[in-house]
Amino acid sequence: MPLLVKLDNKRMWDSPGWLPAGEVTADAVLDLRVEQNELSVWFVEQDRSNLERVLGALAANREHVEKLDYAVFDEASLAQVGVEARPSQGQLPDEHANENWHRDLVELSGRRLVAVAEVIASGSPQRCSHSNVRRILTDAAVQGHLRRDLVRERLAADLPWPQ
Amino acid sequence: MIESSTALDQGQDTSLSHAGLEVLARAFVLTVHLALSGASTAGRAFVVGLSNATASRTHTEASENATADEDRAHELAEQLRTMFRHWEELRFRDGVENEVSRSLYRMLVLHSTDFVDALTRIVASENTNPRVLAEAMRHLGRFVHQPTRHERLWLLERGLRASSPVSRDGAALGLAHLADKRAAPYLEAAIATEPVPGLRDDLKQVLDELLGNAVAREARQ
Repeated sequence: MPLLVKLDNKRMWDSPGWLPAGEVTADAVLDLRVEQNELSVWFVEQDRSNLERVLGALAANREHVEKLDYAVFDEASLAQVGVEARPSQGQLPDEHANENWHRDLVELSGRRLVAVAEVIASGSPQRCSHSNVRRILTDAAVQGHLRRDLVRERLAADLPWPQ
Repeated sequence: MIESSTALDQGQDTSLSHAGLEVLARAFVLTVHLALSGASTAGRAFVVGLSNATASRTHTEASENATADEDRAHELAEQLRTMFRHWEELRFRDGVENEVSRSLYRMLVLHSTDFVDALTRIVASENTNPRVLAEAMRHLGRFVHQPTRHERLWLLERGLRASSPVSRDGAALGLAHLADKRAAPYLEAAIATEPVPGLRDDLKQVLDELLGNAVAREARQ
C-alpha cells in the first residue's frame, strides 16, 4: 500500500552528481521531521483517490497557502528495511483523515532512518504547487472535510466555508 | 521630488543639444515612473547621474544625496548579512511565519525600496547561506507591498540566476507568490539553462501557474 510523507524542502532530495546510485544526501535525511524516533506518514489508497484529501489536510495545518512537497512510496519497501508503519491518531484539521489514514513509522534508529529516506527517495519527491494547494484547500473547506475551529484563523479567513 | 524638479528645470535650458534633450526626456519619464512605483536607490542614482551630466549647479547636492543613499543601502545590507548569519540556525516550515518572514516584512515596511536594494546586494554577492536566502526570497514574493512590487520582481528574476539550486528554487517560489506574468520570459530562460532536472520541472510548474493565473486574472477583468 502507498504511504505519503510530507517533506520540508524538495530541493534537499535532488541527487548531485557525486551521489552513489540508490543513496540519498545527508540533507535529505535531515529534511525528515522525526520526533521521538517516529516519523508521521499518511496512508494513500492504491488508486490515489484520497491523495488530494490528505494533501488538503496537511496544507490546512499552516498559517497561509503555500506549495507542499511530499513523496509517495510503497509500504512493502519499509518491511524490507525492518521498519513498521503503525496506525495512530493524526493531528490535522481533517478528523476523517486523522482517524483513518495516519500512520507512524516507529522505532527508527539512525541507520533505519537512512534506509527509510532511501525508500522515500525511490518514490520521487513531488511538489503540489501554490495554486493547486489553494484549489485543494478551497475544495476541502467547501466540502466540509476540514474543521474550521482547527484551522488557524489567518488561513481560515482566506478560505470559503459552507454557511 | 528633487530629481523631478531638477529634470524639469533643465528642460528649459536652450543650450542643450538634441541628444541631451532626449536623455533628459528619458530621465523625466523614468523619474515619473519611479515616483509612482517607489524610487529605488539605484533608480535615484541613475536619475541623479543624468542630472549631473547636464547641470553642474546641482552636482554637489546630487552627489551628497547619492552618497547618503549608498551609505544607507550599505548599512542595511550589513544589517541583513548579520541577520542572515543568525538565521542559519533556523529550520523552516512551509506556510508558517517565522523570524525571517516577520523581520523582513518589518524592514520592508520601514525601508521600502532601500531594503529591496540592500537585499539585492546580498543576492548578487552570493556569499549567503542558500537556504536562508531561498526563504527570504520566497517571503519577499509573498508580501503585499505595492510600492516595491517592481523592485521585488526584479530581485526575484535576478535570484533565478543564483549559483545555488536552493536559492534559484526560492526565487521561483517567490515569483509564484508574486504572480506577475512579466516574470515569464525570465522563467523560460531559467528553464532552458537549469541543470537540475527536478528543479527544471518545478520551474516549469511555476511558469504554468503564473501564466494560468495571469489568464484567470485577465478573464476576471
